[in-house]
Amino acid sequence: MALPPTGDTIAAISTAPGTGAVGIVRISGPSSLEVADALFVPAGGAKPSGLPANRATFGRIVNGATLVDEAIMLNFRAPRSYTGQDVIELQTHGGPAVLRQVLELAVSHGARLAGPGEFTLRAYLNGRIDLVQAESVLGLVNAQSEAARRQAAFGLSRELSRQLDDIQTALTRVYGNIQAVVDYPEEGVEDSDRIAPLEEVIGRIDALLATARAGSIAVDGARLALVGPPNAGKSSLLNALLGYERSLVSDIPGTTRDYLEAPMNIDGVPITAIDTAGIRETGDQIEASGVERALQLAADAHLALCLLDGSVELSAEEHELLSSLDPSRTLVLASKSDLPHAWSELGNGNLTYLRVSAVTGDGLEQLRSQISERLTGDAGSSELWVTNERHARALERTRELAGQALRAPDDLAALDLEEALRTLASITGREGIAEETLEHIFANFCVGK
Amino acid sequence: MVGGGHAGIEAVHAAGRLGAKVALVLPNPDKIGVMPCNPAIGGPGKSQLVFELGALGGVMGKLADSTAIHARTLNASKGPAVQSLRVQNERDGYAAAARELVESTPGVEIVRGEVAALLTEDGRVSGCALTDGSELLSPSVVLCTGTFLAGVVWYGKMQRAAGRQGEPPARHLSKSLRETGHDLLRFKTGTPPRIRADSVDFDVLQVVPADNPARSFTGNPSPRATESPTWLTHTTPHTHELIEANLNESPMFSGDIEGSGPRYCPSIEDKVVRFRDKDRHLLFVEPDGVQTSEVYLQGFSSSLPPILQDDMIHTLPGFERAVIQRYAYAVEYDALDPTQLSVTLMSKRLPGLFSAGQINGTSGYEEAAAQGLIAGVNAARWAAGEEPVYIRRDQGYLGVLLDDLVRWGIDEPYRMLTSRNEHRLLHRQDNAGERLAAVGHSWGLVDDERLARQEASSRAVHGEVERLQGLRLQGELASKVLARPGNSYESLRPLLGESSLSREEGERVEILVKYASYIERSRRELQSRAEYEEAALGELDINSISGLSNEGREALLRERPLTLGAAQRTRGVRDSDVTALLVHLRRKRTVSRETVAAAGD
Repeated sequence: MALPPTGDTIAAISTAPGTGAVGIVRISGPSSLEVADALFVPAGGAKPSGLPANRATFGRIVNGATLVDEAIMLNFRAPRSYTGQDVIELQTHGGPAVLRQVLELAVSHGARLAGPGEFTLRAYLNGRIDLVQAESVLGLVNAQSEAARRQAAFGLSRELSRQLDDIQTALTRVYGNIQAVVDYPEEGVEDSDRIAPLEEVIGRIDALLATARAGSIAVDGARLALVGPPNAGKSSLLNALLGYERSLVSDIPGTTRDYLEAPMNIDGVPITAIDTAGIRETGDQIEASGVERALQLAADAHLALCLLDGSVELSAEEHELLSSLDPSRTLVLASKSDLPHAWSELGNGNLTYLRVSAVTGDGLEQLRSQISERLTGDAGSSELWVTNERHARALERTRELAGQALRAPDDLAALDLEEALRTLASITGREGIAEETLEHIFANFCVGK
Repeated sequence: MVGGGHAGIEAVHAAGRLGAKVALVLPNPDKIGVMPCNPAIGGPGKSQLVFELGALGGVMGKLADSTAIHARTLNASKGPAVQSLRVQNERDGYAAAARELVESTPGVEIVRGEVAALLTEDGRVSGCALTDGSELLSPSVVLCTGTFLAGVVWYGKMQRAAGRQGEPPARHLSKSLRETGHDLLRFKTGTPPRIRADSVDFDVLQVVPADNPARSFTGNPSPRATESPTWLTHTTPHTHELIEANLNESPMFSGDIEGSGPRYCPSIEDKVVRFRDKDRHLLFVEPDGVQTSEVYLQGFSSSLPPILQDDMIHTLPGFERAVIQRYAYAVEYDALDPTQLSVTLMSKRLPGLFSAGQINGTSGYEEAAAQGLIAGVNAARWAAGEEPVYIRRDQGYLGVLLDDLVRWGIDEPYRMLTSRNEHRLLHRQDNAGERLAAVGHSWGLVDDERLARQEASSRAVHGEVERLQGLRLQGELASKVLARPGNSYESLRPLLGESSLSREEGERVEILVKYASYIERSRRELQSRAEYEEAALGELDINSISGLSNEGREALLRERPLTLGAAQRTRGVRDSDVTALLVHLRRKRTVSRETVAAAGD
């Protein structure tokens, strides 16, 4: 696969499929104005190419002599446009038939149908936006949650790019000092300390990387597994968290044989809650496979809620279950807090528990905030999260190289720092980014962006 | 060949060795090989050039070693890529050795005189006319005129026409160069005062001893290379006050000198003004012989008036009663804009005309010598009707020098620095022979026997590296033991069994073992750049490529780089432009993996 050509003129419908009040057809490239001249007649009579730039103009879209629709034309001239090329945007009425016809007209007058992300690719290649911003456009388009939208907006506003710029400046300063010291050994260049500034850089990268888990959860969502013995009240708790009836609730142990998934949202973070079969040593074959499955789901989840009946003594099986869960990814809940408490110790120093009641709602607020804390708490007070796997990998490599540069002889430290700077720059795409990376990024765009 | 400085010596020697008939034209043969600045060869970036010259069959290292009185490795603790030899020389001895070498080179005749004009025929150079009316006819002319082109020397605001202290300038050549279509730059440089050695109180100076055992460029150090120290002194607040109070006496600060000076080799006035927060600047005191008669004050170049220089010198520890023998001065001179040259150092404007050294805008003996070799070889080849040669950027410092000069151009005198070389870990001084001896052999400057010696040495070094990767020392791999900080090949030698390696070869083994992972990384980096480097742009219609920034498009149209690598180094071309070019090339499937057989243009 290769990147598409960037020198011709492309067109696409930029609004979502379906019927809307307004629909937009966007055209970008050197012949945008010619295309506009051929299909748009401004109300004032002049041709679009004769109109001043950055102006909204009312007029008619025509197919030869036939009226297609009335529309507003926005007219941007290179390089002051989204793509850095001449761009025409036609705001028509939003019906799919109208939009399709306008697009076909644009194509018949010489434009090419745009592929996914081509407008944004052009914006990047023309230096209008950096790569983080381009990816954020994609992030905004695809955002499924408030957290994802917020992070994409940070990216688009260069918040992340600015932080990377700061790190780059610090690394460049150390690098420049090394170069001066080795090239002017006798001219009294002070061999300034590189340990402190590099450690500061490493600290900053660590802080960013600490947000990567939260960032990936913000975009892809978190999996929250509900485990526990039959009839501990998992399904009731799930319903209480969801605010509506999702699981089949009954008094017969083992009612939830396999598992149920339910989407929910806590503090803007998208979560898929998974209600698993009751975990219990059992001779019932169908249920046994459900139990295995449940333990596996808990292990694969970002967080497991282990729900134990707080009104009856803990059994040997339950103690065994507690020891088979990863404490760092488990919240233990004592259910039925509206009933008398039967126990107050878990017998496992690494675990604490929270009392909840699906009946009274007792402890649910606390539970929500603990779930949120466990899922995104690593990000600390940082509002900006690293949401992109590519960014996280580049930051990890930069950190590794900065670490090596701490101890290496000057000339080798300089090599480490050169690569660190290149790696860092690859995030914003300002330098030497491999074409494959670009293809990968822009292949994930929807058409029209 | 016009001029007998460090560029001229290499040019004359190389052309003579290749069988050319050479006339060396200069006003005064006694001035062959003089050292008008410090009496030293080498330093960071520069020593690598001298080692490369040696590998290619040049002579600077040999001359420096034979007249060395002090040799020291700079940056010894800063890693293998930047370790750089610097040798102090007996000034008069060096010039005498250089003159002897030139006179004994077969086919070389020394012609006393000054060039009045270049002669041309059918758009090519055909020789030169001298001011005495005689004409020297030749298909190749090499200009190595140093600072002599329309040279003006300044002492304070006093100026006189001179190419060097006390020597008349080349008055006519600039005009002839302009008439043949060349653009000239105006540069300036300076030199510090020389002080009578018997007026310096050496007892209060800090001693910087020579390395012992002695180091050398050729493996053949002079027995005297450990004999002399150098010394350190520094400026004082009093020095700075004096300078600040008299800045208006400097032709640089008053604007009388228009030429661009080197930022990296600033005058003491520059340093005081630019770094007002520093209350002292280091100064190196360099002898010009074992029985030194005068010392050179490195770091104290100045264009302030002589009378003030006396007072300034007296503020330096150890120089309270010092007597200046030759005052510091600045010199302004014409240089060719090197972008008019091809990478072979032949003029694009006048075929057959070559130039090397300060006339091409560089500074430093080593930079001059390196170009001299290339210009000399190509002048001889041109005369013989053979294809020109050069060194590529990925082959060594010499390639970086040529590429930087002719592709990028310069706006101040150019000095080699290790940081100019993106492959410096691969282009070390210790492996210059391995990198370039075969090239020198193919040019005819390195004989079979020397090449065989070099190849045997390389085999021995790599064989030893391999052996250490299999040898166990008390259960541990010898290569692992050697790689540990603090261990050296020399210190482990008793444990390593039979080894006939020299000390230098042992150090090479050590570098290859200790820095293996970094060297490998650099090699991969070089290869990945090579794809860019070699991707031919050919006859691309730049206007048809979209995704280029406007500035990038203009730069590409103006400079017409031949390869993607050259495009990347073109001013005004951004990385996103390079990406766009790459995308375009891939789409057109015109990326060629073949090296562009480019003689520059």
